[in-house]
Amino acid sequence: MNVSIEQVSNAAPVIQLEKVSVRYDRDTEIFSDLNFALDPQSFTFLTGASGAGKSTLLKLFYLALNPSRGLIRLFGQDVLSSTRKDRQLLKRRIGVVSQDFALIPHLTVFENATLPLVAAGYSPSKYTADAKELLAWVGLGDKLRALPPTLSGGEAQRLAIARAVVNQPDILIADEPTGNVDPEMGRKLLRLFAEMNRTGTTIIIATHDAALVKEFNADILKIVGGKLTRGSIL
Amino acid sequence: MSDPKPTPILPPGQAEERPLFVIMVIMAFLATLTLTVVLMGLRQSASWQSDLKSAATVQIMTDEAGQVDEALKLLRAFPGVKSADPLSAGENRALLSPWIGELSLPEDIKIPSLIKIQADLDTLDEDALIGAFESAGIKAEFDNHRQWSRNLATTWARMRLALLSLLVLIIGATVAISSFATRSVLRSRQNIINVLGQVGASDKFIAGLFVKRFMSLGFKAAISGMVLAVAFISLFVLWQNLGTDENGYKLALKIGDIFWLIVLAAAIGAISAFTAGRSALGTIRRQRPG
Repeated sequence: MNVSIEQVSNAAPVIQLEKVSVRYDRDTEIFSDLNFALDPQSFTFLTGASGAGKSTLLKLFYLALNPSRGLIRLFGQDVLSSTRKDRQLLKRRIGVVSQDFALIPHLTVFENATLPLVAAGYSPSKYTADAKELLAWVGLGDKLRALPPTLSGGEAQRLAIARAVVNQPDILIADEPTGNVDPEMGRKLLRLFAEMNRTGTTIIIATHDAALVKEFNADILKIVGGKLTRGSIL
Repeated sequence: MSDPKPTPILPPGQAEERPLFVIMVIMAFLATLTLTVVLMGLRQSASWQSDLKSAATVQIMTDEAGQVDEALKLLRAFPGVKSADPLSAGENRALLSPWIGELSLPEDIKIPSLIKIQADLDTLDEDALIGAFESAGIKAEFDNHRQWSRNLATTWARMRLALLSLLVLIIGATVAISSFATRSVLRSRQNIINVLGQVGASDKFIAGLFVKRFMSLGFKAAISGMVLAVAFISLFVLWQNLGTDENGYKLALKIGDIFWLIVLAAAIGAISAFTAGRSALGTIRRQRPG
């Protein structure tokens, strides 16, 4: 079934799309008149075939891409008519784990992980202990001064996740966050997401790992033919 | 684990920055050279103007015996004249050497006698002095050097304008180079800009990274260029002064000049940082959706 804003709960959605269309060029429209709303504190898996547009949809959510038309609201705020400063403040409320990890190669593990806090102007004395604890929890406690090029794929992914959650965002958006880690670490990371969700963070994860999705009792959104449907992974 | 000094978010020593550094050193060198010429010229011009304002020449147009002595007596007694000294025959001939070189003039060609006087020409009553010569029957011409002074002032004003225009051009080129280099570094570090944008860094925060980087680079380049230029000028001054006798044109670099050169270096560093910040902000705003 198609998901529309009429079908969501009464709570104000944290992400809301109204008649959103996305074009790559003049002829190719990936999404057309998309309506969608994401409840606060929900935990959602976004699935779909490779190339269905999962990453593009996520980019709309974390403001890395503007739609060709339509309306996007984040936390009730119309992002397209917002000032640049407001959009940047909104971004600070969103943690992002992208497929390519987007790490800065010459910064250490610790510096990469704490980048959102540095960019927000926090003093190191406020976050150093918590950030080290978080990095230890994701298994990077002994690699604080290591540089990303020296990390394995799994370690880089865990670092990207640590950076996404370090400032306790209201929404966590992850694109294939368990793609490069072993199943045990994958489950551990998802338990971290579930824990964050229990404390109020809205989670949306794009994945094609059906086994992992089945283990967690979460909403499932599927992209099929440029439309969003809610339902089973199968 | 003790926390080490944080790594700069923009990595230093990028390949794009090296040519910029060299070009900025050259710009600072040229700017320092230009400003030094302006400062030395200002000082020399003021000195010449001052000399011309307090000196005049009286030319005795006849070789009748006693005319020079009478003129000297009159001048030394005239109100406002501080001193009056005749030029020797040798000095008179030396004045002609720019035109005739070392050639000896035939004895029957008479050269007018010259008397150099020191006086405050602003208060000296020149008409009364000329009248006094006429009354005494002395055929003399009084030259107050005003024409020279005016020509000198006009020439120097034009030269100063040209040099200051050159300085403005050099600073303009520095601005253009800084702007171009900032865009180049921005392009090469697009990945970092994207990550910073993703974690919610403001445009100002990102532009601030470029300001810091280019301020440091600009100051280092400006100081290097200035030091090289001062060394070059010092050698030139030494060379010029060694080859000049006491009556010649001697150059000097003063402490006051160094102060203005430091101000210039600081200005080049600040301009570089300001331009980098503006260029970075403009480029980021064009590139990023927000």
